[in-house]
Amino acid sequence: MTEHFIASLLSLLSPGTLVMMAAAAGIGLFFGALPGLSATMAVAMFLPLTFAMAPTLGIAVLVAVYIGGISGGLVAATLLRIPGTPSSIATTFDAYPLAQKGEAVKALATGFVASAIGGLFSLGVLVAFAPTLAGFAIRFGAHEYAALTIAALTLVVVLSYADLTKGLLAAVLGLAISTIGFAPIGASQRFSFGQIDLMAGIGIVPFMVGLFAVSQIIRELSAPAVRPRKGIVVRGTGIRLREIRANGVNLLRSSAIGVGIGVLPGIGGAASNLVAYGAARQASRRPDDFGKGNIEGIYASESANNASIGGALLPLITLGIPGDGVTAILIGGFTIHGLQPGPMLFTNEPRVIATIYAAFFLTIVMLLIIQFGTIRVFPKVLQVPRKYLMPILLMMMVVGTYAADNRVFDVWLMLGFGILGYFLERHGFPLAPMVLGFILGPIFETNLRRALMYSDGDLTDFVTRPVSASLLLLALVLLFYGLWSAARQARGRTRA
Amino acid sequence: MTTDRIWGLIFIVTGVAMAWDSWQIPAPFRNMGDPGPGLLPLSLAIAMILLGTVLILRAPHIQAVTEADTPADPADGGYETILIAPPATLVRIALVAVTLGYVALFPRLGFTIATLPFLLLATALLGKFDLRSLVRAVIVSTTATLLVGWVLAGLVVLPLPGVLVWGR
Repeated sequence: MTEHFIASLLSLLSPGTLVMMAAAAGIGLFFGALPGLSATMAVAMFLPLTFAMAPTLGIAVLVAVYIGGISGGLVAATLLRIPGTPSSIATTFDAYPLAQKGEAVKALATGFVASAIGGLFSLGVLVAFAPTLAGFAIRFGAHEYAALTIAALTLVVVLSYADLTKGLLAAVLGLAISTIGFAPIGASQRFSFGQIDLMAGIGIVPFMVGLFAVSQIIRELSAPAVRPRKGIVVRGTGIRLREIRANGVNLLRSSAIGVGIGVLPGIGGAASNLVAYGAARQASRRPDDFGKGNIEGIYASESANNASIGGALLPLITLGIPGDGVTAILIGGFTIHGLQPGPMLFTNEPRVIATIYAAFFLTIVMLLIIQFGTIRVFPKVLQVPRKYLMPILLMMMVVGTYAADNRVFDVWLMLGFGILGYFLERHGFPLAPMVLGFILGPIFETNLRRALMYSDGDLTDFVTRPVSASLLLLALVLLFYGLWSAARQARGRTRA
Repeated sequence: MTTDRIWGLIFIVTGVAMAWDSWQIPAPFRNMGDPGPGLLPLSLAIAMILLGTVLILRAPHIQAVTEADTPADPADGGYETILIAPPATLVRIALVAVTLGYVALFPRLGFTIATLPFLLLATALLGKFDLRSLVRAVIVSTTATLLVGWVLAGLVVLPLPGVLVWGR
C-alpha cells in the first residue's frame, strides 16, 4: 500500500490535478461557509462534473469537496455565530465570542489548525484500521451483507432522528425508488410503465442532486436568508505554538471522539463536535471560561468534526456501506466510475484506496494553505448576493445532471426529486435515510435473493450464521430502542 | 386534517398501488429458492401501508426539528446579520417558469445560447429593476456563462451540446 500511496501522491501532485483539487477544496469551503449551503450539496453538485474525469481524479476531487465543505463551516460560525454546517455548531460557542473580542484571526486560525490536526488523526486511523476491517469483511457472504444493510439503515433511522415513523417511511421510500427499472437478478422490469426512460432505473445523479441541491434552492428562495449586516473585517493576532502544545491532549481526545462517532452511521460530524466540546469542558481546568472565547472549545469542536470524516469513510471503503447522506453520494461517485466500494476494492483496486488516502492528505494541506492565505479575504464570501448565487447554482445543477447521461429526462427527474425533497423535509421527513435506502436497496436485494438461493429459500441461515445473526440482533435492539423512545416521548407529550 | 394525515394517506395509496403492481411481477427462479423480484417491492409496499396508517392514527406529533428547519435568530444575542426577505410569490412563479423553459430548451439550443438568457432573466428577477442592476446582471450572466462553459467543456471535457468557447 505504501508504494501505491506514494505513486498516488505523486500523480496527484501534477499541476493540472493540483489546480483541480484546490478548486474543488475551495468550492467545498465556499459551500461550507455559506449558511444554507452544505458539504452534502457541494458533493451532490460535483458528482456529475467528475463523470468525464479519470476515476482516481474524480474520487480525489469529490474527497476534496467533502473535506472542504466540512472545514468551511467554521467561517460563518466564527464571524456570524451561524454554523455554516451542523458540524460547526459547537464552534459558535467560543469562536464567536473570541471574534467579538477583536480576535477573529485567532479564532479562525485556531479552527484551521484544529481541523487539520483532526483530519490528519482520522486519516491515520483510516489507514491503520481499514485493511483490518476490510480483511474481516472479505469473509462476508450474501447473508451477512443483507443483514449489514438492514442494520445500517436501522442505525441511521433510530440514532439520528426524533420521529421514528417518518424516518422509517423515508427509508422505505428510498428503497422503493431504488426498485424502479430492471431487477438486479433476472432483469425483470418493475414500475417502468412501458417508459423507456424509466427502464434503466433512476440514476444516482438526478436523485442526489434533486434531493439535496434543488430542494435547498427551493428552501433558500422560500425563506428569509441571513446575511452579514455590514462589511466583514477580520482583525486580530494569530495563534501560538505553545497554545497548540497545551491543547495536545484535548486535540487527541476530541479527534478520537470524532473518529468514533463518525464511524456510526447517521451521526457523524453533527454530533461529534458537540460531544467533543462537552468532553473538553469537563476535562478543562477553566470550565467557566467555556462559552466566553476559550480556544480549548474551538480546538475540541473543529478537530472532532474533521476527524469524523475519516470515521465516516471507514465503513464506506471497507464495507461499501455509507453512513450518512454525504458518504452515500460519494458511493454514487464510485459507481459512476465503475468502482464498487467494499472489501474487494482493497484487493482489486488498491490504487483507488491509495488515491483516497493521498487526496485526503493533500486536501488537508491545501486547505491549510488556502485558509491561512485568505484569512482576511475569504470571509467576504458570506456577502455573496443571493440574486447571483442561486441562478448560477441552478444552472450548474441542470448542466451537471444533463451531462451525466445526456438525457433531459434526468433533469426533469432532478427537479421532481427537488420538489419531493423540499416537501418531505418541510414536514419532518429526514432525507438521509431516504438516500441510504436508495443506495442500499440494490445491495440489500441482490444479497437477500442470492442468500436465499444459496440456502434454497431457507431463512434460518440468517440466524444461524454468527455475523448475520449479530447484525440482525443489533437492528432489532435498535428498533425496540427507537419504539421505546417514541413511546416515552408520546407519554411525555400526553402529560404536558 | 393535519399534514401528517395527508402524508399518511399518500403513503397508503402509493403502497396499495405498489403492492398491486408487485403482485404481478413474475418470479423466474422460484424453484431455486429465489423469492423473485416482486418480494422486495411487495414488502416495501406493506411497510408503506402500515407506517402510513401509523402516521394517520397517532396523536398529532411535534414536528421533528431537522437541520434545515433550524432557524437562525438574528435578534438573539446581537448578531451582526440581517434577514433578507424571500422573493415575492410572483417572482418565484416567474423563476419557476424561466427554469422550466431553460430545461426544455437546453438540449435544443445548446449550453451557451440557453444559459445566457436563463442567467440574465433569473438574476434580473431576483434583483432590482433599475439600469445599474440590469447592467450588472448582464455582466455577471455573460461572464458566468462563458467561464462555466470554458471550464466544463474545455477543462473538465464534459460532453455538453452547443458550448461556445473561444479558440474552438
